[in-house]
This record gives sequence, structure tokens and C-alpha cells, in this order.
Amino acid sequence: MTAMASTGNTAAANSQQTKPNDNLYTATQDLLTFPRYSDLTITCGNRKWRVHKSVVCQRSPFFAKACEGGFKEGSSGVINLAEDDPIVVNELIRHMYAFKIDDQAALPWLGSLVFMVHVVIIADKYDVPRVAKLAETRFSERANTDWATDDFATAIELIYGSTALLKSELPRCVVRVALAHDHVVFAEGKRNAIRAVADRVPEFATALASGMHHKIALTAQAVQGLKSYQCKHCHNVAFEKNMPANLNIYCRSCNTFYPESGFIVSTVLN
Amino acid sequence: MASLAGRGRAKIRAPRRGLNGADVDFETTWAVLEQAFNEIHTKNASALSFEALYRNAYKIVLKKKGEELYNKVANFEANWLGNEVRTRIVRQLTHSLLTLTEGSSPSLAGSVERKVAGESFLRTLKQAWEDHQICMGMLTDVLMYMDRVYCTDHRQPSIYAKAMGLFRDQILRSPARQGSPDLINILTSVILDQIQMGRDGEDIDQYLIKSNVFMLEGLYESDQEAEDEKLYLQLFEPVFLAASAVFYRQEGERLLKESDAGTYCKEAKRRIVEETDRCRSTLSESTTPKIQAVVEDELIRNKMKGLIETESGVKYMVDNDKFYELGLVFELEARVDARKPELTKAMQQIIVDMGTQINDAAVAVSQAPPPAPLAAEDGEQDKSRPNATKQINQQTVAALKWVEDILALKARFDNIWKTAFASDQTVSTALTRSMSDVINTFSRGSEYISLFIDENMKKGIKDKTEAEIDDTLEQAIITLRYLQDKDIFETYYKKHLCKRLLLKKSVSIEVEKQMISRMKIELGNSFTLKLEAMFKDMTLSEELTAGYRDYAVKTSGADPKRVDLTINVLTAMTWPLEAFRSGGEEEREGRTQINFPGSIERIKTGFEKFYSEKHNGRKLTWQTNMGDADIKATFPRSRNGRPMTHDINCSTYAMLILLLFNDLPADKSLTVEEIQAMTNIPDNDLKRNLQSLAVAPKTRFLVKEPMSREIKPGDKFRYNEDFSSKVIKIKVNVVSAGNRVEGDRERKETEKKNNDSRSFAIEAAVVRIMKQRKQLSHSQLLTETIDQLKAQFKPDVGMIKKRIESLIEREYLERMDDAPVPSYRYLA
Repeated sequence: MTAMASTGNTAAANSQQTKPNDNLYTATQDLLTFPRYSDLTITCGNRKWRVHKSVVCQRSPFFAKACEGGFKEGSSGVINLAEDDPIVVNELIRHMYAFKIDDQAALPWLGSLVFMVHVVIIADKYDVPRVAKLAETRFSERANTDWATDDFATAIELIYGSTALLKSELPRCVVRVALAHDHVVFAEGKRNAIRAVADRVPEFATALASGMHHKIALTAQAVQGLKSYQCKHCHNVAFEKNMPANLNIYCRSCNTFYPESGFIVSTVLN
Repeated sequence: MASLAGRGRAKIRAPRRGLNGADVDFETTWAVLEQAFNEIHTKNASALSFEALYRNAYKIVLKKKGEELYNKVANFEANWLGNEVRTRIVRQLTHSLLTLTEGSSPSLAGSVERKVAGESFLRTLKQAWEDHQICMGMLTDVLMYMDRVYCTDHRQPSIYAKAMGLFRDQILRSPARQGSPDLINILTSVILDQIQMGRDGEDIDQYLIKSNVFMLEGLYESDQEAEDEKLYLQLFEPVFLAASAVFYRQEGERLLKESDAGTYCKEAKRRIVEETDRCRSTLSESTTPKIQAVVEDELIRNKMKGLIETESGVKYMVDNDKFYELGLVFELEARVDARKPELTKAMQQIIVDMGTQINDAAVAVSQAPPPAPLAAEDGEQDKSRPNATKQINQQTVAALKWVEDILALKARFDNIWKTAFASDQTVSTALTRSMSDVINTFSRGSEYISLFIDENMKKGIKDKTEAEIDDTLEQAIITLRYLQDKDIFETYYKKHLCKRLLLKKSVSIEVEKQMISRMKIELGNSFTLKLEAMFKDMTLSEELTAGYRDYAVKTSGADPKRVDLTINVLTAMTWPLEAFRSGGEEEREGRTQINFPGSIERIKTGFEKFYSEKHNGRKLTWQTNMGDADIKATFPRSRNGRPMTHDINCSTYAMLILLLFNDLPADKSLTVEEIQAMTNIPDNDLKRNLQSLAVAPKTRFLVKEPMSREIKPGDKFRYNEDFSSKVIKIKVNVVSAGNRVEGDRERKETEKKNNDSRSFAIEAAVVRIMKQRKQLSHSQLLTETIDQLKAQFKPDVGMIKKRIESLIEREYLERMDDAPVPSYRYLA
């Protein structure tokens, strides 16, 4: 936990050093701390951001429509995000101005992984796909190292609890990370946080089982020198001999031919 | 969930399961939204929080109730449109609007009421549509998350598209009342009615109609919103086009009945422009080409023929120089058919008619005089002479007039073509073809054109500037361009040119040469070859004359008494010498040996010797009938009883006759037979020369007994001692030098000769082709022959067949028995 925090800090420090103070990038960043020309106020909980329509409306259609439409916000110039968390909203707005997010902003109250999940949710809610993407990436990076923490377990529960995230990369990401450490997770007799989540969240348990099966199958097929073709449409995995790249490949469960780009192809080594 | 952080808790709280929505109750949330939607539809949205509505919809979708929400919204809209909005619109429908759809043409009575009612209906509908769009815009904003997540995942049309479809179904596609037609049908009829009012000249609210058209363009038959499924295209446009077709059909018939063609064209053009404008201002631009096609079909394509043929049609316009109207006709027909078939047909007919008139007039002028000279032949002497010259003049006048008329005709239609027909290529081709038909159907065309040139060469170009002369030559060339039978023209031209050159009638040899070079450009080298040879002969002859004069001085010294000789040596093949012969004497004349008196005979043999020294092996044939002589003659009582010497210019024959009397005592006389025997002059020429020497009053050098006009066998002639004349130079007219139109017999001869030369040309062409191709099918041979000869004349197919037949007989060709199509083989 301490080690993680220090790496994060160094990254933040580095990024600050490399940015000189006189280009468009930093100028945009500065806008947020320099609210003289602000023409819109966003409030959430006890916090308040003096922002610019030209910035936020361009990033998020939600803000655009709130300002344009014939609703209260259009005339008052204030948008209150009644049910969001200010610390998450802050991350959203930070990205609008600085194109970055800080996954440690919520420490120590919220672990980075849980925090990133919340950022993905809010990015989906207000339709800012770039933020969602970035947060997913952050989550994925950090999950690789933080898989053994309570933070990770809580994040898994959160992910499977929100219908908004089912289509994102996150569920797949947590299963992948969990399976990468299956020898620990499923070690006989040892209770751990991930197992606990699997006990509570049946969808996660099923995903784990399916992933496990896949992994075993992969190993078995790899021995026979085959490739695995995972269909991007139905996620079904099939094993074929190395197919010529210009040939369409048949997916049994979709009952359709797709070009090779429609599959995630992996060669598995022994 | 108000705050995950910030309460200072050290330990991370385990979040509840089903975060974002587990605690949402659908019915209550929907109630909030429904309430808000009501506010939006009653234009009362300004107090609503967008964030709150968005959040509520978001939560419902997160709770996987997207479908219920979608259906609730759709139901809400359907109810709203079906009850609130439709009632408002139906309220605007008056009886007159409802009956519009029944198809009966609306009566004029009550049109004001109908216009007002229609406008208010349109206005209400427009308002409803615009409200609907605004409200649905706001709803879409609020339901953005639903559109993005639920509609995309479940392949549902966006709620906006769905709501537009609802407008179509709930408003336009529903009957106004029980049993009455759908609102869209009423809308269509109302718009058509308004447009009809506009066509009748009333001011209509274009913007109002345009707004409704916008609506129809924004709505589709199905929620898939395919481009060609626009209601406008599916329901409105076809009805509009059909109604317009009916209207313009009637309008066209009415116009044809009530106004002249010029007005009709103006009206038709105005209507097309008007409909184009209407599409821009009132309907949709996409309809422009279609409605134009309708108007063009009804007002132009179906009516053009009738329009052109009416009394005030194209013929009238041409006759009265109505260029603007002609231009309109052209423009209109060009719209429907690039070839402009009706107009060109009519124009061609007019040209042919006018051309035929010109041709008939020329024939009439040339045929009018014949009774006069016939009568004069046997009639009194005094009258016959002027009549004869008059006849010649009239023939020439007819020719000149014909050419001028033809040129005027061409100029006139060229002008129309330029001013009214935008110098259109297709029309030009057609007009040219007609002009060519006119000129070629006139049998004397070739002769008349040649005569026209002849007349101008002899008189016309005197006192003219170079530019004017150029113009005249160009005119001649223009007519020549149309002429098909160029070989016939060549014959005539040669004949006329021959006379001009030999009798020195040409005003300017320069101009003659210019003409030839123009013809060379226009008709090609081979055409002018012989004509140029004639000029060459003339130049050579001048040199010969001068050469002989020097030679004579050298050989026999300067002898003032020697007769001076001017000679023209003509190449027999190039010169149409028969032009000078009077008919029926050809055969004899060739063999007749004229007896020359000694002094003349010496000159003749002298020149023959001189010539044969220069050009060995050439035979000279003396054309005595074409020569003339200058003689000095003294009459004892010519000038008031005193002797006087006159310079007489007369034909060679007349000179021979007069010389006989030189050696004869004054009181002695000679009979016709004696003169004939002494000179050996052909009968006919002798008679005519005697006539001019003894009968013509001004040149009566001889006295004839008995005194009568006709020369009869046994008539006696003696020297006229009492001849008197005030002038010194006297010209004896024998043969009329003027070129005139041929008589029927002459024409037949020319034709016959022409046919002969054509036969040769055809045979030559056929042999040339066959020699090269060895084998050829009949039809190909025909086409190639015609092709080769078309620069000279248009060969008659029958004639070609005869020539081929003759060539087969003479074993130049043979028929190929084994060929699938009739073919010939060349026999080397």
C-alpha cells in the first residue's frame, strides 16, 4: 500500500515537471483555477466549480443540452449534480481541462481501484467516453499490482453491481487479473478477498469459472499446436489450425463467417 | 450515496450491491417524468431541472427498465397527439375543406372563405408540427441516456424518430372525423387548392405552405426513415403532379383556342418559370424537374404540333418576321426534344414552299415570252427584232431574279436562325437540307447560277468596289454549295466562260480568275482544271499573236497591206465550241472547206507554217464561224453625198462576202447560189450574214433583190453605192452574242451530252473501285461509286446499274455466282 502510493506520487511529480507553463495545454489547465470568464457553475454536494461552457459542453453532451434546452439550468447558469460524489465529479472536470485523471485523489477514503470504477460510471453517465477509457486503463494497470487488496475486491463487487459497467472492459479486466493469480486465489484452505467476492457475486463466480475453463482448454489446445480464435461478437472461443489471414473464419455459436479481424487470435505456448 | 468520501471515515465502506438504481421505484420516477413532460408540452419547462430529469431517466435505464420507459414515453406522446393536438387541428376543418378531397373541381363561389379556412388549417398544422419538434427535442435531450444505451442495444429507433412516426400516425394518417379521409389527404387537397389559387393569380401564403411541405419532407412512411420514403414523395408529390397535369392539359387547350401561337408560347414559358419559382418558394426544389416535365409534356410536347400548325403558328411568324415568337417556339421545343422535330419540319416545309414559289416564278418569267417570238417569226419585220432581244433579256432576268431570290431566301432564314434559333446546329442542318432541296429540284438551277455569274462578269461588277465584287462572288459560291449536279454547272459555266473570253465580254479577267480560285476552294482542283486551261490558252494565244506578227515582219518585211491577224489557239477538248454553232450543222461544218481570197489565204498558211515550226505535229482547225474582222470600206455617197471611209467590224463570213463585191463592178450582182459557191460558207451562216448585210437597216452594205426579209434561193445582191452613215465605226451584228437561256432542244442536247459524260464518269469510277477491290458486293459498289462521284454530281442508281451491265457485257466485270449476296469480280 505504501509502495503503491509512492510510485503514484512520483508519476504525478514527473508529469508536473515536464509541463512548461506557457503553452495551450497549460493555459487550458489554468482556466479552472482562474474563473474570471467562467459562464457556468457546477455544484455537487458542498463543492462548486466555475467552469466554461465552451469547454464542458464540448466534452459532454449532457452539459451541452442542459445549457441549450429550455430548462431551468439554461437560464440560471447553474447545474447541480444532486446525486453524484464531488470527488468523482472533480475528476471528470479535471480531465475536461487537463486531459488527465488522478487515481489517488480519493485516498485515503477511497482506494484507487474503487475510485476509478466510480469515474468510469460517471463518465458513462455524462457521456464522456475519453474519460471512461482513461479510467479503465488506469484501473487495469493498477489491478495488475493491487490484485491482492481489499480495494480490488470491493471494486469487483462494485463493477458487478452496476448495470452501466457490464459493457465496459472492467468485468473482463477483473476476471483476467483474478485468473492470472488463480494459484493464490483458489489455493486450498486459504480465504481471501477475491474468493469472498466470488461467494457473494454469482456473476463474477460464473465468469471466473468460464475463464478457468477457457484457460484449461487453451493449454490443452496449445499442446496440439493450434491457435485460439475468440469471436469478438459472441466471445465464444474456438480452436483452429492456423487459418490463412485472408480467409473468413466460421464462428459456430454465431453461425456466421467473419474476417480474421473479427476474432481475438492468440497463440498459446506450452 | 450523496458522498462516498469526505466524511473522514478511515475504512473503505463496502458499497451496497446494485448501486445506481436498486433503490429506484419505476412508477414514482416515471410519475416525476410524466409530470415534467406535461409541463414541456404546455410550454412550461423553464422551471424544470434538466439534471433531475436526466438523472431520473438515467436511473430507470440503469435499472434495466429502458423498454418500459421507452413505451411509456411513446404512449404519452401518442395520447398527447391523438387527443390534444388532433382536436385542435380538426377544429379548423370547415365543410368546404372537407369536401375538397372529393375531387370535384372547387367552385369559384366561396373561394375566399376556402382560402381563409385553408390558411388557418395550414397554420394550425404548421404550429402543431413545430411544437411537436421542439417538445420532442427537449424530451430527446432528457432521454439521451435511454437513446444511447437502450435504443442502441435493442435496435429501436430513437425516441425522436419514434415520436415523428407517432405524429404521422396520430395526426396525418388518422381520419379527421368518423368516415372522412385522413388528414394528410385533406392537407394535400388544401395545398393543391391554394396552389391552384396561386396559379389563378391570387396571392397565397407561400411560407405557410412551405412549412407544411417541410413537415411532409421530414416525415417518413416507416420509422426506418429511408430517403425515398418521405411522405412528401410518397403521398403529396404524385397527387400534385397528377393534378398539375390535368390543369395544364386544360390550360393548354384553352390557350390554343383563345390566343395566337405567340401568346401561347409566352404563356407556356411564363408557366414553366412560375412552376420553377413555386417549387423554390412554396414546395420542394426536388420537385422542380418533375413539375417542369409535366408542364413541358402538357403545354409543349403534346401541343407543339398543333401550335406550329395553327394559323398564327410558325408560318405566320416567319411571314411577319416575329423573331421573338419564333425564338420562344424554338426554346420551348428545345426543352422537350433536342432535335426540335416539329419546328424543323415546319421550317423545312416553309422553305420548300417559298423555294417552290421562287422556282415557279422563274419558270413563269422564262416561259411567258415564247408566244411572242413565235408570232414574230412569221410576223412583221419591225417587231421581230425587239421581241427577240426582249426574250433574251427576260430569260436572263429570270435567271438573275431566281438567284437573287434564292439568296434572299437563304439570307432570310439565316437571319431567323441566328436571331431566333440561337444558331442551333440541328436546325441549321435541316435548313441547309431544305435549301439544297429547293435548289436541286429546280431543273435550271445549274444554268441559272452560271448565268448569274455570267451576267455579273459582263455587266454587274462594273463600277463596283472590290468588297462588293467579293460579295457577289461569295453569293454565287453560296448557291453553288447547295448544288448537287456540279457537272452540269461546269458544262454551262464553261460555255458561258468561253463566250466571255473569246468575245472579250468580261469586265475584268482578274475577277474571272478570282472566281475560279474560289471554285477551286469550294469544289476542288479537278473541277477547275479545264477552266484554268481555258485561261492558259488565252494567254498563250496572245503570245502567239505577237510572235506571229514579228515572224511575218521578219519573213516578208513590213507590208502595210498585209492583213493583221489576231489568233486564239484553243485546245479542242477544253473549249465547248459547240456553243457557237447553230444547231444541226455540226457534221457538215467539220468538213466544209471555206474558200478564202488570196490575201487571207496567205495569212492562214503563213500562220500554219509559223505554228507548225513552233509545235510539231499539231493540227490546226480553223473555226471560221467564230472569227471577226475589221475592214476599212469606202462608200461614195456616205457623208451627205460625199465619199467616206468606215471601219466595219463584222464576222469573218461577212468579210468574205463583202470581199467578193470588191472585185465586182458596181452594177453587177451575185445570186445566193453564186456567193455560196464562191465562198463555201455553210447555208445557215450565209443566210444570216446576208441578212445582216442586206436587210438590217444600219448595215445595209448590199442591196438585195427582191427586197424582203427572208433570204430565198435565187435572191440577188449587189454593192450598195447609196449607203450612208454618220458614224465611222460600224458594227455588224450577226450572231447574237448574248448568253441566254437555252431553248428546249438545246437543253435536251445539253442533257444528253451531260448524261453521256456522266456515264463515262460512272464507268470510270466503277472500274477504279473494282480494280482496287477485285471483288465487291453490289450494294457496296453502289455506295462507293456514289461516294466517289458526289463531288461532281449525284448519280442516278438506275444509271449506275446500266453502266455496270454494260461493263459486264464488255467483260470488265463478271457476276459472281457463288457469292451469298449479289457481287461482282473484276476481270483484269
